[in-house]
Amino acid sequence: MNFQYDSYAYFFDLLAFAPVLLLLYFSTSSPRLRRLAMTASGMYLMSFIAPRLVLFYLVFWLLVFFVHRCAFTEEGGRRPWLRGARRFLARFSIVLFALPLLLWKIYGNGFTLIFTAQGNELLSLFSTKLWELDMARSVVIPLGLSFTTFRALDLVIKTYLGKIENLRLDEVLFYGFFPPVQVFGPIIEYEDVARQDHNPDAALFLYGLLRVTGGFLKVFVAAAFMHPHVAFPAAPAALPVWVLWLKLLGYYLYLYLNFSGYSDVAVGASALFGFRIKENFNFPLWQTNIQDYWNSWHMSLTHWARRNVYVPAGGYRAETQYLAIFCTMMVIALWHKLTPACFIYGLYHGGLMAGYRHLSEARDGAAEGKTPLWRRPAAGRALTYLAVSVSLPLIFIPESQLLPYYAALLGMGR
Amino acid sequence: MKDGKPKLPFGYEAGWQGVARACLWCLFFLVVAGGLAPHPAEEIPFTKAAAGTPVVPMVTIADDHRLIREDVKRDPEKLDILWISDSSGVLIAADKDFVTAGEDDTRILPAFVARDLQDRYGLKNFTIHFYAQLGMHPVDKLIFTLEALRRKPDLIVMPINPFYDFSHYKVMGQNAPLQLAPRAFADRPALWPLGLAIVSPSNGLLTLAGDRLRVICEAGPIKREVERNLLSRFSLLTHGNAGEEAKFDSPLNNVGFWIAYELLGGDVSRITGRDGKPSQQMLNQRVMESGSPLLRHSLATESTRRVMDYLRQSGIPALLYTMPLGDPYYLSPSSANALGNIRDYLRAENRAHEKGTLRLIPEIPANIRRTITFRPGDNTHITEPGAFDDYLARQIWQEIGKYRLQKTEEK
Repeated sequence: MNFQYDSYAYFFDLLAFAPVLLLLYFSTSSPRLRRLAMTASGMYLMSFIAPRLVLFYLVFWLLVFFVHRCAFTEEGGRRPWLRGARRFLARFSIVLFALPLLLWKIYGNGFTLIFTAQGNELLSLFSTKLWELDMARSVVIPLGLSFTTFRALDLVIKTYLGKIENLRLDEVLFYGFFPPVQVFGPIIEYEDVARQDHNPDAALFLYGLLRVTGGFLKVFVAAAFMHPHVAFPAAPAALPVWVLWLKLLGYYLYLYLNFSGYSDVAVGASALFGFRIKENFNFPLWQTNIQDYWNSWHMSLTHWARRNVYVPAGGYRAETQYLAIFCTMMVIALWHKLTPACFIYGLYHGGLMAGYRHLSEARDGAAEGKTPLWRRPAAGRALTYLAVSVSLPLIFIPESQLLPYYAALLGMGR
Repeated sequence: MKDGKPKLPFGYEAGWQGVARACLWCLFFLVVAGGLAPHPAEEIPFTKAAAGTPVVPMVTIADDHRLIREDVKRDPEKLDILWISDSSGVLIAADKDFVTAGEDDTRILPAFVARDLQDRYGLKNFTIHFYAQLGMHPVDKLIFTLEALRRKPDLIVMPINPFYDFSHYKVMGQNAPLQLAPRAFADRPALWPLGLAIVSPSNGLLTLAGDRLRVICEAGPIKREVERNLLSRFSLLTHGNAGEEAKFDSPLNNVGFWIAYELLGGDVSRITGRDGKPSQQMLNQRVMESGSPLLRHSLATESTRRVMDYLRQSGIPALLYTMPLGDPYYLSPSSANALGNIRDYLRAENRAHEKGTLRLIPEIPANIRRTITFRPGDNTHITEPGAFDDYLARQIWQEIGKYRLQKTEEK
């Protein structure tokens, strides 16, 4: 059974539809109509993955809107009986909106099967034709669920903190179904797309075109041709050690090209419509230490984690900073999968980050002298590249194959 | 980006003219790249099975967006039979399945029929254009039928699938035929809502681009070709690869999933054989038991009805035969009943349109059916056609005679 859905198909649809959507979007100056065009297009494009997803996300964002309006608005805050309930509701809604993602991460394909069957059944209440078409689509994971969850949580937390107030339904749906980032790309914040009254901007449009083209070249030329060469081998012990290492180091490059390529397409597609969303990558392969690496890899996730985990956990206080680092890295790690291997991945990167922070502080206090070789930029880049590469199998190899793989990498088990 | 302004390469200051220029350059490079890229030959399944017969396979492999061979033109001097087929027209060796079978293990029903038409009925000057796709479902059949009508053949032959042509479990299969849909649906407003729901923007773009943007339309085959060259040069790096990424080990295919969840409350044991794989016969019988065939308002039934309507309206002679099935289907009361309903429905259709050019074969006679060898445990797909090919050849011959299609013979 096909559980895979290639994000390529979504982005290809988005770009093929972009001329129509651009005409629709810029043919009116009314932000409300623009939001409507964009939201409807987001739903339309998602329906080609599976109509059940449209229904699910519609219900999801309606709930987000309900929580946003009913509990956290300024008027709500002034009512004493509601004020006491705000904290409870904030916590409850965070759990509620994170629940589908958590269930998916815990139960994996079991959740996907039930999600698909129930989603399809619900769809039959609205349209039998869509219900039938939905059955013909793949049994896929709820695509874009993690990105959606983070966006929704961000909105709820910001509403709770009073940073965002009184959004209308169409504004929340526009944020939820914003087509360039529905399935892949940076995790946007509401502020990134809050204004829809801009005029078309030639410079931004051309910039968008270039980013989209560059992104496609990264994904479909560089990464696509690299993949068969760097894919993790099924029988690692059969390969020479140096080949295994070459493949592992290559896999990191492939991963960067693929992920950042899709992010480029998402950033570029947003720019076509006049939105400048945040970048997701900043040359992570070129960074000289692990801290800079995490500040430049999947930046929208690390920024999200910094705002919502690192800072609340006391990252800026000396006595709690290391705990905050571990908590943040654990969230990032378990975002991939809720598995022991990802837990180890979190510990590993948390350890690296904490170690680097400790060394940096110790170095800052020490007298200046000759820079040792291992602290020179080239060595730092090489070490960071290596440190990141060796952790990738923890995420991308099935757990049962991890030990044989690492053993083969060290030349053992042959 | 700096000061809210995006940074363009080489300090370029963009205006709308610049945007237009950039778009034109993109288009230019796409066209040039299309010219420079290798031009891989279309991979046409069943070519070997059709060798030495007047059968011409027309459909490429599923992920080739060219989909239908445009190089094959109709010969006005020859009788043109266009045969649309799902897996029921493909005969796989008993020890293989549709995934593992190679060209040597595969035969096709039209090749048997073509030989019968030549040897027993003396028909010589004819071609059978074979439009086959494994897993062709009602909406796909509708699209292929409209494509067939565009080519204006002398006779159209197509099987009716009693399980899925009238039920909701799988209204469409592969993505590739959708590329034909915009062209096929364009002058039929009644199909536009369906088109809007199934034809994705990229399907539309590929249709529009056609041969003009070869690098996009042939991206799949071009990539395979380049990859093949690259892989052979770096074989050490690809040695020992797992090939495909690990997939969830489920005994179900898509149809099996829906049947398991809709009819069996998730109990897959009632549709899987001893080997843990879904049994085609069990799946089909569950579909029959569900009573869903002939679901009047289903998209599948509507598509099948439209196929018949468009064929009738075209005036092109057409023969639609119900695919033969093994005895176990007739021994089970529920499936025998469902098959009976379909038979009665098709008979009623024949009676209602007696003077039309479409003839339906509601059921293959039992004496013919029993000569057929079906795949063991499957009873749906054929391994040896027995007298079935001769039966079909006779029906086709009758149609040819009825419409005096042998005009080219008489010349």
